[in-house]
Amino acid sequence: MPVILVSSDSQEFKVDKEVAERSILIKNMLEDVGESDSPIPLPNVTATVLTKVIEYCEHHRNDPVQVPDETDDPRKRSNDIEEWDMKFMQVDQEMLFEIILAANYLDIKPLLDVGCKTVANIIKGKTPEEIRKAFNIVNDFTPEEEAQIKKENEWAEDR
Amino acid sequence: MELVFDVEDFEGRTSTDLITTSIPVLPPDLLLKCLKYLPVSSLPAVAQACRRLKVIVYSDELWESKLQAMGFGFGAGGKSSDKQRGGANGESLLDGPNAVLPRFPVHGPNISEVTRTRILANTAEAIQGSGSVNVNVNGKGSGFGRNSLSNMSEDEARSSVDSQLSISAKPRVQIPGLPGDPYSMIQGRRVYHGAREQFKRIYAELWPYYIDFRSANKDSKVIQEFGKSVLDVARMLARLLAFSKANLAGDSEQINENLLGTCEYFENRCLHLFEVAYDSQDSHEMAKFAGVLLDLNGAQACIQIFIQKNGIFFDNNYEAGENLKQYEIWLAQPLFMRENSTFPEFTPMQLFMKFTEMEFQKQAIIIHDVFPEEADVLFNFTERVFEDVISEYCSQLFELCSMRDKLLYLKSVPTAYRYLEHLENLLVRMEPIHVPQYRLEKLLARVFGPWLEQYLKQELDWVQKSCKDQIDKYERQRDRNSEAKRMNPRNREVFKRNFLRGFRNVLALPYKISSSIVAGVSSSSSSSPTPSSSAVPTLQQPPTSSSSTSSSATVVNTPVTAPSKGNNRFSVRSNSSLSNSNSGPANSTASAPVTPTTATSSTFVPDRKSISMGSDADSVQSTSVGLDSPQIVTARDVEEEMNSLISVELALHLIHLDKDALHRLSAFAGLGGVLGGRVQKTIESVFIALLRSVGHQHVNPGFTAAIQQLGRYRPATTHGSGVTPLMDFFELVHVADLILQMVQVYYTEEMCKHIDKMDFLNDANKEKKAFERLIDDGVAAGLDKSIEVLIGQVEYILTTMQLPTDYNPDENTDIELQATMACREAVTCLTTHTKMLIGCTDKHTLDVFYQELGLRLFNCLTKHLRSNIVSSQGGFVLICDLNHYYNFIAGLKQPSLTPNFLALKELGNLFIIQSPSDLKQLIHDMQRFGGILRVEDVFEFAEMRSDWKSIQRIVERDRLDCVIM
Repeated sequence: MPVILVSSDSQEFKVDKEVAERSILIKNMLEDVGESDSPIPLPNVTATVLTKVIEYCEHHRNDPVQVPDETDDPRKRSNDIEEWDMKFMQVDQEMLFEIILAANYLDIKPLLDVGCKTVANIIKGKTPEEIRKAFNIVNDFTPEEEAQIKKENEWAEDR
Repeated sequence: MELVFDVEDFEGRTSTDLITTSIPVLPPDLLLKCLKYLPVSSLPAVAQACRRLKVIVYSDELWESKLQAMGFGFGAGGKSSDKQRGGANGESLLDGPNAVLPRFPVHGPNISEVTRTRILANTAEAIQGSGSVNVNVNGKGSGFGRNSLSNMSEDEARSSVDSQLSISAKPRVQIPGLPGDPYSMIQGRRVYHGAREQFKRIYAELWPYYIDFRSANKDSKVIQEFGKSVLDVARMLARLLAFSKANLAGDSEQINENLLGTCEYFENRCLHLFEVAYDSQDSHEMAKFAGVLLDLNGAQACIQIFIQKNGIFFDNNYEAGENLKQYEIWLAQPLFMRENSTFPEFTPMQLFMKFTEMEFQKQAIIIHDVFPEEADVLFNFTERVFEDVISEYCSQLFELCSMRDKLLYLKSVPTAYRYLEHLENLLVRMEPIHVPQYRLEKLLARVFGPWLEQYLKQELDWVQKSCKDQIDKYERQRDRNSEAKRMNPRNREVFKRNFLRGFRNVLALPYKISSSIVAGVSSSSSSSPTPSSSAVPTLQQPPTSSSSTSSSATVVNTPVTAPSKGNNRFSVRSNSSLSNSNSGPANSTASAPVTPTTATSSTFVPDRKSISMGSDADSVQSTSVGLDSPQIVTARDVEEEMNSLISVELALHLIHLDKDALHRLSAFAGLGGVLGGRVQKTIESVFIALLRSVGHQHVNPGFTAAIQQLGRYRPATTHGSGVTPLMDFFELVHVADLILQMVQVYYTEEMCKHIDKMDFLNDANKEKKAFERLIDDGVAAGLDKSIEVLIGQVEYILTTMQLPTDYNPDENTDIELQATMACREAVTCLTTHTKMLIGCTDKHTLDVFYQELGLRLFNCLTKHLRSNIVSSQGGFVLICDLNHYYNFIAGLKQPSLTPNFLALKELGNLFIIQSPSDLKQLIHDMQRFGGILRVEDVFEFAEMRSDWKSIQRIVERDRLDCVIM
């Protein structure tokens, strides 16, 4: 039975229950409500983002359900992303953040992980200035402060 | 403290220029999540990008995740192995030998103290009006839980709390309408710089060695610097391995690979040296490399090698098949030799277990020398021995046994278990190290469980099947042999008592011996200790009472001639044994004291006479054979036993069969848990199987058949020998009672070890009750029928034998003042049969039986008497008869019957009174008849008078008046 999702800008999306249930939020909602064909409003997700998210869920509809694990795997790395996911994540930054937020809100852990890894990959190996440029960040340090922080973290640099 | 200051500063002025930045669109939690994916080397740049990112990079949560990855016990990863090693070294893995860091207790004693102060701090903050209090509490709670795991000394905790308080003391600038700034949440989570500082320290120490693996392999700095001490190299490598998990550099994967390669190389070297040491049995060297490997990676490979190199796994000469060979040899022995040596001891298995035990003891000493206790090598070794060696041996043995012989299999499993239990006891108490009992029990249950379940099922099947077989066999034999033989009614009591006493003794013995003894008991039931019974020395209680009586009987035997030939047909069940005692020891026991009880001994005489005179060829033969070999007497006894509808012998066999099963099962009685429950269940089921087969398949059909026989019986002249089906039935009641008592003895002696007598919900107890009820019902139904038969017989005797002249003799014949022939015959018939029942069933049933019998007899007599004509002379004879009946009834000791027969006795007076007026008075004297007989009844009896016609008018006049009135 398909589920109807409504984006914040009132667009309706008809998706298979199985696909929708990739989102733990929706899954729990459906369980609470029981059999009902009333549409599910998602006020935090816009139609464009939702389309993207549904695309992801469609592709991963048959993945084994992840065991809810509170502690993140500490050994995780940013470079073990599937190829499809990598391509899927080739979007502009704004969309990337939107997807991460939506995944967080909808509680789709694999998508959230992929998003965060993508962000980490953008940061990785960059100088502070490059990071600022990449994310359009204004440097709010005084030069002295910046030098101080650099000094404080020298130990961690890969010399 | 500079960070705290910074944040204060940051909150104060940056809230306006946030809009331009794009990355902070993500909430800090998600940013943190992103940063966790970054290698350490990328983090400094992030910290320099902007203030917000700096806060996150400096947050302890980020560094905790790194520490966690390195195996500090915050979470699941690498925890157990680290703990083990930490314990072995006495210090945490990542702390170098010279590390300034204190140890990492997993649960510091100061936690609660710190928690308390922490809560205080929170409260203080709340009072300060911080908008982020709610979130703070949660965040700090979780963050703190982890922090408390690290070694924060109390002072440190205090100081950090103090600083927290001092921060809170400053008034904060809050933007109205907004919840607490999320960055301050992250900042607030930080209790102190523990995680980052700690990571920094470890990093500083290990990084040079770690980064060296970028290019180096076996020639790395670690080996170069610590090469002198293998142990130091191992420790360093182990620390680096843990360290490498924290995602340190962009190319850390490559570095880790190199590191791992070096570790493997190092490990292999050590393993090799360990093996060399093992082969030369140099426990000192072994201990050295075991220690090195333990520090490197827990030495699993080393332990495996140590265990696998033990000869017990590939080189032991113990074959399960040996047991079978032994069994065949035992079978090949002649019968009498087999009787003496009870097989299956499974000596080869015993040897195997002995060998295993010794091996364990030997290994325990080596293991103690080589491995520290934490390595748990002994248990690993034990586990392997159980799972491989013992398991293989046992499963092979069980399989071979079950293919060879079912009973052999049933014996092999408990025996194996007993040996294993012995082994378990040894292991638990072994010096210098031992295996904890609970682990061993678990192991044993795991290894033995499947076999046990299989065995329990087979055992129950076996009991059910062999019970059925025995009964079938018995029934086939009975069908062949049609003539019924009966127990001697006189010494039945003695027989039963002795039998049961012997049975109780015998129950304690194993089946092989006991079966012959029981046969001996039954055969020597009423005999003095004969040569044949002395062949069975275990029977130490020769029934003294019976020996005295029987010997005295033998003595008195000669002067008394057979007064009751009628008992000739009473061939006795313990026939052969009696003749045994007669022909065998009679002469030898001539010196036995002549007891003063001539009365009792004389009661013995007829039977003895009948036997010695009427003993058929069969019993003579059995006697002669019996003297030679007691074994064959047993067989013959059994055969004679077979003639009865219910057989004590059969029940005995079944009980012993059951007892053996129970005995085997009791090897497992100590087991707990699920398996123990199954064992208990099987014990009960085995007992129930016994009761069912004895009750439903044997006793019950026996009773049904006997009752049918009773129903078919038509009264006939028997000449005092008794009504055969009746005798049969009463015999049956006795046998059933004996079986019941045997079961009772078995129950109290054996079953009560395993079940609670008082537990009325227990299936076994319920079944036992049902069994008793079954027998009682059978007895009751049969007794009911037998009353009919008995009364029918009495009626028959009275109608056929009572002559018309008995009570109305010719005027000129002299009358003998004694009971008539018919009366005596009837009473004899009654007496013989009722006497048979004494002691065979419970008193209540007997009372009911007697009362019913008495009432019916009363009715029968009244009916019978009315058909006679009585002259005044015959009246005296009648009185004699009535007295005779009365005496019989009085002998039954049933007070409720006496009034009836007293009244009957009074009736006699009706016939000797001459004067009609006196007669009239007598008839109306209701008190005399105790209300049993009504006036009308008495009139009817008066009509029997021979001169009734002449006096009728006078006597009846008033009667008519009465009627008119």
